Amino acid sequence: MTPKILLVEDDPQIRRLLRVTLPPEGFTLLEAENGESGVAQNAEHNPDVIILDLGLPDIDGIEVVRRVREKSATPILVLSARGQDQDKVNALDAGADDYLTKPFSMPELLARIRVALRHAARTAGETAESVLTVGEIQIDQVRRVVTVGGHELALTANEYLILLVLVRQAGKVITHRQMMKEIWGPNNIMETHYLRVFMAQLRRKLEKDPARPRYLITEPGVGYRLKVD
Amino acid sequence: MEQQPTNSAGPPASSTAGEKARGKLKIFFGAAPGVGKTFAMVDAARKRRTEGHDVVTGPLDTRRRPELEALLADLERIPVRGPATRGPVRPEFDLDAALLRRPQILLLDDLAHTNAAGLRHPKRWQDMQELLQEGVSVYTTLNVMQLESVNDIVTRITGVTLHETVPDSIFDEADEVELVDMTPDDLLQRWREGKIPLADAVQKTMAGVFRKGSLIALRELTLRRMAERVESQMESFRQEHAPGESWPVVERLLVAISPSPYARRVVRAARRMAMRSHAQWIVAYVETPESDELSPTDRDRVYQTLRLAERLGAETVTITGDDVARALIQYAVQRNATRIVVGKPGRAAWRDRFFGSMVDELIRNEAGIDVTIIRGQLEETTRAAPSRWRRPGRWSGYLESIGVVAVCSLLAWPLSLWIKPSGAGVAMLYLLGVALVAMWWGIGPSLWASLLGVLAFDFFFTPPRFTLTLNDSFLVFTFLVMVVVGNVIGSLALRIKRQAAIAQRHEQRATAMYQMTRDLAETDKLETMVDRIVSNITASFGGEVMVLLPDDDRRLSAAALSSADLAIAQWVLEHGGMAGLGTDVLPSTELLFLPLKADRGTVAVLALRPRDRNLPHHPELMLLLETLCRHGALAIEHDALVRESQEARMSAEAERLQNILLSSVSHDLRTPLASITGAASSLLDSGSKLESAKQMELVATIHDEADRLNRLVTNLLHVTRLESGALKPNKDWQSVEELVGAALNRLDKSLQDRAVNLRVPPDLSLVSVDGILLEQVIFNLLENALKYTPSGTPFDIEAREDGDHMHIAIADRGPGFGPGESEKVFEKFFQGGHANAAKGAGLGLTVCRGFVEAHGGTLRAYNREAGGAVFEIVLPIGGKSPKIDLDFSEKNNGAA
Repeated sequence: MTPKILLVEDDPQIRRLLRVTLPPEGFTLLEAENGESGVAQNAEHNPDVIILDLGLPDIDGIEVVRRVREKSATPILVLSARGQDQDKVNALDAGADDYLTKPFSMPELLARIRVALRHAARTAGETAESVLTVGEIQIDQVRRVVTVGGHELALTANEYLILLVLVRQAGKVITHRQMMKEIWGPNNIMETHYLRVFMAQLRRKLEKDPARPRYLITEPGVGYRLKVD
Repeated sequence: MEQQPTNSAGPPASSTAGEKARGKLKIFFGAAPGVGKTFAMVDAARKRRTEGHDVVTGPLDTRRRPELEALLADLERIPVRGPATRGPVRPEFDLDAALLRRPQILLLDDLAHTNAAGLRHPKRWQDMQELLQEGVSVYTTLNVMQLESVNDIVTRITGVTLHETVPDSIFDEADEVELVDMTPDDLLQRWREGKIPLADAVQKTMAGVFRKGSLIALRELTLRRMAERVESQMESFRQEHAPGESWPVVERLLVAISPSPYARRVVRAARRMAMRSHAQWIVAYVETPESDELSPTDRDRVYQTLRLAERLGAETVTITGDDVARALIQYAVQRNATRIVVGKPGRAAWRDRFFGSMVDELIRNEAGIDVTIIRGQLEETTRAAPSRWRRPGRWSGYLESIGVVAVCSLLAWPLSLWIKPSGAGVAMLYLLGVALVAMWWGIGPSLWASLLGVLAFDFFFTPPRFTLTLNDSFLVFTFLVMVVVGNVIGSLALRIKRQAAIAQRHEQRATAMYQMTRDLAETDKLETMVDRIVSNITASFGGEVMVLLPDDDRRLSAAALSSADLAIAQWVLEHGGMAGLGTDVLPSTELLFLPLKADRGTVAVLALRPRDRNLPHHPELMLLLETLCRHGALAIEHDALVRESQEARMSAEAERLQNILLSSVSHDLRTPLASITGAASSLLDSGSKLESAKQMELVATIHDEADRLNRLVTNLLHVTRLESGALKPNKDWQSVEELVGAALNRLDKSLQDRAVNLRVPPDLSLVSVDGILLEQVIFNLLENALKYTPSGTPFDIEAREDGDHMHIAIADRGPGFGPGESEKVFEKFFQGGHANAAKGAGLGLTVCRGFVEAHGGTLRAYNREAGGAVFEIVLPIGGKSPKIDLDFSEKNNGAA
């Protein structure tokens, strides 16, 4: 069965674009032109991925995220316009899985959809593989050992946890808030500069050129992402 | 025939020789075309000719006017200039031929005429000016619609817009204007009969003029212009010839009021008179030395009457003078009043007979001012409440008079022993006593003192002493002398005393006003202004003073006031009237509220807790208070106007910038759009016919141009945020390395053929900035460098700390900057001269500098040693970089 993608977007041109481009890539497209209809169609059709525009005519995009999350864990990919930086962070913190800034390129969108589908599959299976691999990075969760290109890295507990969070959700953006929640628990949200310092240390150990990182990508104002090729 | 001209517009016959006297201008002025201006002009000219003047006519349109042709038959004409263009043109006036001919009087019809192209002046009235200059007098015609200032009114009235107009100054400065009038009905009749000489082209458009309503309005406009002209002539004539006399041109009423309750009726009656005759009216109260004796009720009444008059639209004034009638007449002459209006005085007739009445004196005035007396209906039968104020000291005055007489007697005692015979000297002493009593306590006690004095004199000093002889004739005589002389001296002294008091009060008032004006002129800060208003009013009136300024929603607020008082203040602000203590609006409060009113309404409210609760009953004090308030209000308003004009200037400037932005942007937006539209449409139209390589090329164009459009819009958005002041950096401790990395990551594809040399020390401190903005700055600088440097050349990025500043330099090996360019690059819409890459809008670097400066940093550009450009960002680190307790957080984590 081909994966179902629900597009919640009021602009007919964007809908037309995806209507043309997604089916040949092996996706079935469902369309909703406002938030209410998006929430309803999610309940009815149970899509595999939701692509959600933040600037909807009826209800706030973040509200849509919340209402979808009440019922399901369907991955949500948020489309935001420039200047909506805070909105997209809020959407991510409210439970959205990833974002794309308009204008976006089609390969980028397809890549994000695939990342989302992969994570959904993994969460569903939750087989807790003991070894995770992304590119040259390998994490043995049982032994708590990280290797890059076969070389073992000596990581502190914090560095290890940061990397683990990123690798588990490889390709997906993780907001500062989510990251801190994962590492230090929901009651220990610290200042973001702690993250920056740990991230710099981690880069220095992991990346060949820490100022031109290959894996540990910064999304300014949002968070971090582990780049997958 | 008499050679002397009888008309002022005719020049002296001898003016041809010697220096050139300026010619005179006479305008034949009418409400509309067709009233007969040209006829009147030709008629007058013919008369002048028969009087022996040298009269010549310029071009006259005689179409549809055969009778005019006949009149002109025997007048010499300046040859008409041949039409420069083909078609039905109006005949053109040949100025040079006229100057050559140089007649005494030249007829120049239709002053508003526009000359054909190629003539010396664009307008005929300019020809006319030159003729006057050259000493030629001109007769011309003009209708009211052609006056510049009424052009828009005419358009409103008639719907016709005339493009041929004449400056009003020509009309105002004309030596003579003759009105040519015709009733609207007659004119309409002529219009229907087609007798109005109009060019065919305008025949249709003028239809709006020839309606009864329009014609009546135009006629009124004409008559009013004439009346204004005549009045200003009268005014200048009056000033030249008889400054002391009043010329009744526009009615102006001077209304005198008294403290009587019927004064209100006089004011109302005067208003009706003023309305009927469209007159200006001034309501005056004359303050005489006797006004000092008025009771608080009377004072209040005067004040209320003046306020009533103000509400009814009068100008109000308080005049000071010894004599009411004389003061009024003097003021009437000064203000050029045509009529004095007074109420019928309520005094008994016998007093008028003996002392002469004010009304008589007014009527006998020599300035020729009419006097109207308003009759108060009840005034004669019921006396108003006693207008003389019974001062509290009055009865004590009688008692104290006894003391004065006793002192006189004691002083006279040794005198009578020393000077013999003592009668005259002792009598003098008593007289002095009576005079003092008269001065101090007025007429009653002085009569009483005279009586006592006479008795004492009789008892103590007339032989036989210590007996009352009660010699009738002696007593009566002495008594009378004492009464008369004592009272005359006393009242004179009293008058002087009162005048001195009035003078002193005036002095105080003038000083207070001067002080306030000076204080306010010295400052242009609103708070200081308010402080000074408060301190000045406190200085003059004592008590507590507060000035309440409304906020943007015209609401007042003051913590020191109760909500009830605040509500009164709000009422005062909204209604512009007084309220509170002693007024008729909410008098129950302890505070008096006055509006600070200027030309554009109430700008603030003054709250006053006077030391003397009777303040509202002293008209002169209230007038002073109001004057001070007015000064204050004007200052505040002036301040507001200054600020408004500054704001207007600023918004005009902002608008100008916005226009530049718009015009530039619309160009820059359209260019990529054009490429996209072109490529897309050719794909749509003939995509299948094109080979696939060509198709890909078109698609690439679309992609690249869309990308460019996106960059442009992004930068525009940033510029807009910067310029609107909406940009507030969202600072956080950021790592430079991370931000540089993010920017490089975004540019990954374009940077593939570039070597990027990074020098970012690992221990570089964090910096407090908005990460998104700084990443955008680095991104824009890199993108800019990509655009302006040859492909394959390297970039160097260096970051270093310098005390409490962070330096980030992005250097290239491109061509660098031309002379003066390194600063210009930051200007909006600046485009580098040697760009071979796709152009942007010239906003990228503007945005960079704006962002950096929003952080309190600097961004500058300079040429690099050994070639290339450097952009250097310097940012304040923003305090102490936070310490991270790594061990602690590791442990903390371990515990979690």
